[in-house]
Amino acid sequence: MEIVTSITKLTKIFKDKRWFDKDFEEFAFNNFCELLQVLSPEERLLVLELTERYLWIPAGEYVENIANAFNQMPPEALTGISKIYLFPISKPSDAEKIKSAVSLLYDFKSMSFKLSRYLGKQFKVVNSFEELQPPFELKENELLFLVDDYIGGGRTVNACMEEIFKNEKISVAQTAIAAIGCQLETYHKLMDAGNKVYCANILLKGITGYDQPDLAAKKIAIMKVIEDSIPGSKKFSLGWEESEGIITLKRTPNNTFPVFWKNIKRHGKTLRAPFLRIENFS
Amino acid sequence: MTTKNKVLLLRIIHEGGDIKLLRHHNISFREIGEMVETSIDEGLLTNSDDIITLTDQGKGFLDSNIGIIKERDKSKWIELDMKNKIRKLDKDEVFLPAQNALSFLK
Repeated sequence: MEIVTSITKLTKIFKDKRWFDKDFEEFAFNNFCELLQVLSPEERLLVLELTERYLWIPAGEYVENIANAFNQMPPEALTGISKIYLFPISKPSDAEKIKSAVSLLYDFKSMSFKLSRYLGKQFKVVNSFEELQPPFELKENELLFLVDDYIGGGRTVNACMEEIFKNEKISVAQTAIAAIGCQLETYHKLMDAGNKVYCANILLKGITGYDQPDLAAKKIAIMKVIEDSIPGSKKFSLGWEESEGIITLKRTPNNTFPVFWKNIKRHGKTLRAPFLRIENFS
Repeated sequence: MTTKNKVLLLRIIHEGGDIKLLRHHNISFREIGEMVETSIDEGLLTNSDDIITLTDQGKGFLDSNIGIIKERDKSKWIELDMKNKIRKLDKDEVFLPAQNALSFLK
């Protein structure tokens, strides 16, 4: 695909997805175009195809998306419930880190009165694993929601649940998971394990989730050639644990293909990624 | 979109040229995308299976306007480096420029 054609196609994608209305759209669009300039025709085609499948949910769209997830809980499941605990999904080892889920919880709490099926119910944000340890117990009229913006491979949510369910007074039946985005495979695994999972967006793997094996193998080979030009991408090849993620939220998860969030180096120049993920920030 | 920019765009597409020339004229990537879309709407370009080419109308437009982008004034072929120009010196005068004043040495 020629460069002019690729920029025209990218313009159409941005228009169709209303991306020109989003925050830092100029940064993303220009970096996309700079990237397209250093890619080969077949690489451009692949990146644009993935961009068409891509989901971009900036901070301003968080509340409506998390509300969408919470609204998936059937009204009958809320009958008799008067108090709902909200806990940001995190690993016990990451408890000290700033988690995007924490700010998400407070955003949600502030607008929860708009969700008619939750009207009159009391929300309480839980900030640490310690608060969920005994003597804490979930009473009959209480629920625990584990909340995050994105669930990728599921390692974090599983570690989170393992820690929480050490308290025998918290049952799986009284717990639910809510997220803005979740990888399809992880969603199925969580559901199969008996969890209630409510997600605003369920995402297929960017390549193997859409394409037949032969074609997918060719596209993965092309992607790996691109990754050869991305310093530090080996660990995240095809996204963390090969998740093939195609999503950007407030921050792009490392499950997303590195080409979207890691700088590429070609022809002696380092080009900024469209959805640059700042990593040296703790 | 000015006629000059439109002619530049059509020539680049027709000859498979580099879009750096458009960028050199301070045309943003977004404007390039918009210009192509407009030119397709105007019938100058066609997009078939992600291959953008000039239509006969586009070729006619390019032929009749190519003169706009050709610089005929030879004095403008090479831009004068005015920022490094110094006053005229007397034949016996020795000029010792300050090192930090010579941008081309940096």
